[in-house]
Amino acid sequence: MKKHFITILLLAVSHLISGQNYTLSGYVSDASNGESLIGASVYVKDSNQGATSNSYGFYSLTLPPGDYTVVFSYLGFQDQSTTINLDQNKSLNTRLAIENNLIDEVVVTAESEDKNVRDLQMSVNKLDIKTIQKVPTLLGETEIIRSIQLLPGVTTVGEGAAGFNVRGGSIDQNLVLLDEAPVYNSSHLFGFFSVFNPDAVKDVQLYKGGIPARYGGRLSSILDVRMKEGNNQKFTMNGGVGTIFSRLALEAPIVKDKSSFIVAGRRSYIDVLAAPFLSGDFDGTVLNFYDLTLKSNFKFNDNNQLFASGYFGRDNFGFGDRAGFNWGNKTGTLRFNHLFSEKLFSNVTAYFSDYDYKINFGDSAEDKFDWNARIKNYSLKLDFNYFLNPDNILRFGGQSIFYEFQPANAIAISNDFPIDISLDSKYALESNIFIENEFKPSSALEVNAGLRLSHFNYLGKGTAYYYGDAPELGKEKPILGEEYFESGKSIQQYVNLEPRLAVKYQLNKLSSIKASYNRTTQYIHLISNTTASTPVDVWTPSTNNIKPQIADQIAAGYFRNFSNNQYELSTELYYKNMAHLVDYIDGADLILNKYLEGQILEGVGRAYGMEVQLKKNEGKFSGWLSYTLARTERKVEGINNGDWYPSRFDQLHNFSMTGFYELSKRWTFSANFVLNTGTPTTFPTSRYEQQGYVIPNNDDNLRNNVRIPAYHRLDISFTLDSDPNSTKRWKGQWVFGVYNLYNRRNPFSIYFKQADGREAPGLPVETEAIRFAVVGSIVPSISYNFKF
Amino acid sequence: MRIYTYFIILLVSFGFISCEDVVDIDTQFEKPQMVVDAWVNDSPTSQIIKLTWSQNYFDSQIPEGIDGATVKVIRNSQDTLSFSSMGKGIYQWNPSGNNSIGEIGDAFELSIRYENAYISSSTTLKRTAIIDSLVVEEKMDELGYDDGSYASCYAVDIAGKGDAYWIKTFTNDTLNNKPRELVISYDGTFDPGSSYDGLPFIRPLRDAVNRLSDDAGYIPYLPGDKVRVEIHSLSDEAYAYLSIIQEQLTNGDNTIFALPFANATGNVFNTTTHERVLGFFNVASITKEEITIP
Repeated sequence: MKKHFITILLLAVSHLISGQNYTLSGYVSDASNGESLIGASVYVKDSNQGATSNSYGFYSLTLPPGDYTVVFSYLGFQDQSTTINLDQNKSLNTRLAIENNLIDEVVVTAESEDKNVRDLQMSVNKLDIKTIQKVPTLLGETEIIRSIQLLPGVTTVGEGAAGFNVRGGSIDQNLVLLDEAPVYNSSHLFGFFSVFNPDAVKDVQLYKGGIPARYGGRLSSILDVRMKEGNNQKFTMNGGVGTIFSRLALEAPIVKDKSSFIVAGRRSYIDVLAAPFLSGDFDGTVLNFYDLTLKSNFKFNDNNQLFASGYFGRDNFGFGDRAGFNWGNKTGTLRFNHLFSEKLFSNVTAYFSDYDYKINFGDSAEDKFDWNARIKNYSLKLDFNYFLNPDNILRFGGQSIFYEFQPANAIAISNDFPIDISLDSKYALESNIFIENEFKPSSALEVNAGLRLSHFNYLGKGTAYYYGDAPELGKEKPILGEEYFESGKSIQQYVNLEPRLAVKYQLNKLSSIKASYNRTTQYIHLISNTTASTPVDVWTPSTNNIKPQIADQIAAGYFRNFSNNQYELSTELYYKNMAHLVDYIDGADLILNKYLEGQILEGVGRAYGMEVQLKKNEGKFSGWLSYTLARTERKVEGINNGDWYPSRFDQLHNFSMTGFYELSKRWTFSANFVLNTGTPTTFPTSRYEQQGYVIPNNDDNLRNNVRIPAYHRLDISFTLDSDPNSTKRWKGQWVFGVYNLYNRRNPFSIYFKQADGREAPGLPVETEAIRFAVVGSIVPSISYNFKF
Repeated sequence: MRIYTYFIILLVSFGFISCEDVVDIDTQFEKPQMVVDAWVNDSPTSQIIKLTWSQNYFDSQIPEGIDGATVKVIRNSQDTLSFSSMGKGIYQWNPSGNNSIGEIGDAFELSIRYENAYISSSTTLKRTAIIDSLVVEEKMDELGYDDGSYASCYAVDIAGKGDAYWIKTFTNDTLNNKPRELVISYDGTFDPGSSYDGLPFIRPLRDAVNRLSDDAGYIPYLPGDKVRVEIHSLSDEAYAYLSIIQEQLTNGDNTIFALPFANATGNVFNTTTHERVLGFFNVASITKEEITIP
């Protein structure tokens, strides 16, 4: 810290001594559609300094006056070199053209390809939407969440499970952001499809560790999904007809170069296709899901730009009037970028997010049940990027989020008698301020030191419950009393300081070592004790009984590129300690229970491992290999006799290989192979009888003591693109895919049950173990995508 | 609540591509343990307590009975009711005349001595619900039901929170004992923690006196079937015990939403080692109704 202070002082002094510096700044965008490029590299050849464009494509370089050759590059685009004479502050907006791989290698200095070595940020994976679209998937639908599961350190508990696990953290420890607004349930149809329409997505970044101070709110990861702005050059239409969804996206400029919009929608149509076959009991079955993404932006002038985006998605299931079930997310974001100067970039974001679900049963007025729940947020966020000079960037800002949790608005009508079994709403205000300084103490060393201060206030109006000690470890706590708090009164507050530190040491041009430490806090928790989370699982704030979860993670890595940046190797080791994790007593009743807090057990966790990734980004054959060797464990008083036990999603080995091969100008072959150790589960050891029922028992009271068999699967797909020589504006693409090519029945779980049938009294009851596979067959698919 | 939520969820899961296979598993079973099956009630008929040995989970045999134990129930710390060994692990007690095991509010202690082990448990007799009527309903062309005769039990919870019940249905004197036919209720609804109290049992519980087919739909009774519904009161601990059992026995149907495995914790203890013994002791007040399907 002291050395850093001196550096700042020296820089300030040298600034005064050496005279005026000038700033070169501007935006980097895609020439074909005007989309800003996030993380584009701006390299000054002469002084070996550089910058990267921020989330809005803005870069700023402050240099002494002189002539410079500046190279702009971004993976997948042609490098662009410009010579400028910096004799005053200059604005240089650059548009990059897409790399045309028919042209022979005239690569300027592939600076962008060594990003993994050169960048300070570690434990981050950036997925290009074009790459995501080439990965073979279930039923041919491009899938963002399933693609990130191919990265090291990312796993799931099984197919069909919503959410994902990052470095041993549970699924609620990932902050999923869509243009800065949080998304609470990122899946359609439980866990099979994500809510992100690939036609509207521009950039996907997953931070697994070394999380910079500007992000926070969840323990394990940040999935930052940025939507496209909309083509501000010309009208474009993208769409597709697939096995599950049909999609259409329209983009066009409102005023060329200044403003544009994008509207993208998808709808499933299994119910439409199945309707003729559904009769009798299934007549009137509703099974559909859809999402709509809208975005618009207005560039008032070079210093001011406004963005508006919205997302609306819904899943609907129903059986006529008898039963219905639907849920969805709604988000709306308004963002305003303002350049105070060439060096000071600011962004103000205001968003609201609303996740809700509804369940209803009963087709008669005398007997029915209606239940809905929701979580609403409103937030205001301010971010500043201050580019002091190419070796010194300061970021600071703050955010406030207001939460309204409605765990249950439920009315049951029984025998014509309405009963209100609603639970009270809960309110909270989460705020934070942060400051980050990214600087270079020497030519080989780069540091990002940050501090985040977070505060959580659990507010009234509401009731605080007070519990006594449980009669026995692992049993429900008795309720001692309750206290009502008026609206706005604070029931419980928490404050946490979250230091963040990332360091990079450049060994040579081709390799570097990085290390990081971060402390993260999480104030809201997803209450779920099932293997896969259900859409009706409730989010709850930290209260006077539930403490915020806290994690400390250290990570270290070695990064090296080979063969002129054709191959990228990343290796990382991490160790994460978690405290105040939420677990549940046996037989916990988590739904519609106002005494839920008495059924929660607090535990600790630890996750550690090694991640290796080898990528080949260029050439006819490209792809990557990911391997993770890791362990994630929990220790909770009252579970597994208080000893450490593996988490339900623990997988010792997780390997995946994804490859793309250009067979010809039009045909591409892709394949995807995944292999992981089975997850753990709890098996009974014995059985006994009570009143004619056969009861399973685990004699030693263990949890997750046995492993399910390993999971492995191969998927392939063939893509036929339209003729590149064709001048037709309509470009079509056929994708033929097979998921689970060698038809393996990968077990999701093994469970125990009594054999079917009704035993005559006096005869013994048969019990059996059943292996359940979510996808137990080969699943072929055909889809057609088009672009106009 | 959980029953219905998961019912809906599993109906819409990817039924056409998922699959299930029976597999062999090594359970690592070590040794049999004593099991106490002591669910008695205040009906003026003979009461049975069963002592058996636990088995390896895949042992499909009638459990071996434990004979030679001394089994007593002590009422209100004064009256001792001795259960006599009938062989095969069955211990029986007969009330004299029209008497029953006790009255609402009585405290009971179970005392078992087997070889050198002293086992004990205690519970209280709680009040039970009222059955207004048990009727037959004919269903014809109704969505979700095969045509035929179904039973419907109109029961009412007593006002005052904290009443737990076990609804047992017998077809021709045989208990409907498929896992999903284990029906328990708290204050007339599914779970405690809501404000429902002193009201008629909710509709799903009213229908729960019917038999189920293997794929979880109700099937009609046959003409001539004698249907008897008994509502047994449960202590809070007994309700929690059966609650876990009910979840665990039906957990397989939850597919991807499976709950973690849990041992049902009983209320019977070995007084020397202070360890829990498998099984449960509950004294119930019962009310019953019977009907014959025409």
